[in-house]
Amino acid sequence: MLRLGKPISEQAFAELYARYSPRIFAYCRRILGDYDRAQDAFQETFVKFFNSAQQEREMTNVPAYLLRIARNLCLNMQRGQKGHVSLEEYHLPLHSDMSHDKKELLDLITKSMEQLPADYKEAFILREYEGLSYQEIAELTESSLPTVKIRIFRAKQKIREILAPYVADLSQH
Amino acid sequence: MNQQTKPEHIDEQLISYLDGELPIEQEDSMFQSLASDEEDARGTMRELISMRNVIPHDIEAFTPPPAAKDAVFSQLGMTSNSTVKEQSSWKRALLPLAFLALGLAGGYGLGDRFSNNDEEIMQLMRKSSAKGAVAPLTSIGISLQVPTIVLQQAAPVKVIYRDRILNTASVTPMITLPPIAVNQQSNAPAVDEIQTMTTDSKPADQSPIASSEVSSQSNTNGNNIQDQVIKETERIQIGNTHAVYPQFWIQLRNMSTLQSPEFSGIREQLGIMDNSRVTFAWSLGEHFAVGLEAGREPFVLEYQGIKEDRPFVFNQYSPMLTGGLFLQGRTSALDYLGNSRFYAQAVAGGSEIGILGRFGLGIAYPISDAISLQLGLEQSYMQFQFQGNAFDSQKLDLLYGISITL
Repeated sequence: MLRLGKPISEQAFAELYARYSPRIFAYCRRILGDYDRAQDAFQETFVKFFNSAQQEREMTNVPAYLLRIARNLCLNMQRGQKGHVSLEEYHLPLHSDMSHDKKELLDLITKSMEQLPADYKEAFILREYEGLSYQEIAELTESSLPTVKIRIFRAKQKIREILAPYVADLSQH
Repeated sequence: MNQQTKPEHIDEQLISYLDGELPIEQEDSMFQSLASDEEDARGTMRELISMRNVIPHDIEAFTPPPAAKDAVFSQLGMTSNSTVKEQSSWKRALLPLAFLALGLAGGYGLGDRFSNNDEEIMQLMRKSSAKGAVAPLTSIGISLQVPTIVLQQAAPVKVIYRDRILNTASVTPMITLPPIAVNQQSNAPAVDEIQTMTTDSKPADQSPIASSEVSSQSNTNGNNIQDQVIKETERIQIGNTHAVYPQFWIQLRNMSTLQSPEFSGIREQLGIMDNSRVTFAWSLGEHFAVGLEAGREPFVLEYQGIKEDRPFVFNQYSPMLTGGLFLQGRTSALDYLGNSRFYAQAVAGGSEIGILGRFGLGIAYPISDAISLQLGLEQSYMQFQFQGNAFDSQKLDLLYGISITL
């Protein structure tokens, strides 16, 4: 039997945190760019989520609900601080087990994302980082399905354009 | 990277395909494009796959700072390092052990309380004498001397009449009959005479007579008296006199759940064997038994979890196998309750899904030497794990059944 909307216990919250915190942080981190602001948004997301869950609000899809909270917080933060994050901020140390090529490619992708319009960037992050379907992205961003499809397509095209020289260089070697 | 030369719709198809969004009717045309001479399409596919493969390695983005977790949990008044940890094994065993201790303490406590009731036994003896059970003593001039009956606690006592050993229990309060006082005014034999006669008439293979033992006389009157005393003693000490420990017995019980967690689902239809239990036990003394029990019974299970990325609360009411170590403490037979005994018992064990502890109180009413009826209440506690978190279920049962001594 499935019963939803029950106040969340501490144990269940811990389980949800362990399960979804990487995805939520990735969203905040890549949307906002700035590490400290991303951490603030991330923390606030889980606090708001817990408080909402305690009020027995209906939640049929926890990750989507978390993302919705994170998205609103990130949008507010972006409105509060219009300045762009410099590309250098995206150049952060990556996992040491990765090959140099992969590190470089990832670095380029994250930098490319910053060149995208906000809508395209978000659609790309939600698709590639969060693994949401087009329909889920449409619901979350309150957009139509064709719009989401176009945004993702354009975002990937744009990134590919930015990556083209690098890929060409790789293929030459 | 020849976006200009390649039809855009092929890129669109490739992206949609990798995202799992391409309608199945368009897959054929996409694969045809890939298989044709459109090298660009294959190149695009490789680029998209590379992009997709590298993003999960964005560890920096997917790793929330540890400080963030502490901050979130402390902000919510929780401890970040204890909530998802499993309980250590000793902590999980604590409750069943507590149940065991409770059962033992309860059983011994009840047993001691009732078995120490000297006055009660004295009254029983007086009552017996008033009914004439030992009247022939007075008829031959021997006063009954009921007040001289000595109660001995926790001392090995044997009451021997000729070659009959009535009681060999060593830790049970016993009734010992001292040498019978003689009414000098009657024509009854004096104490010395009785002892002399006893000594003279003692068979060669008979046990020696201790000061606390009563021996028999060979004359008819003496036999009658002694037989009646034996009978009365046996009646008073029913349940104790012939017990030889350890004593094996089986308990068969059914139960009805009186109280359990609220269950909002549909209860399964249970058969009679889905709420039953059997216990194989050994009485190690009058007040203590140990054994093993097994059964099948339902518990209401309620646990929260995550399934397909959705939180849920699962309710279940299904019978499951249970079993464990059984310990029982019980009172002496209570004459005024038809030789019934109160008991306290505890079980520590497990079920198919978790650890289990029980504690119960009840009464056993003997309908024969070997069979008694049981009625009691029992509180059960079961703890189980789901997705790394501990959940529990408790219930209160009414137990009823029989106990058969073999």
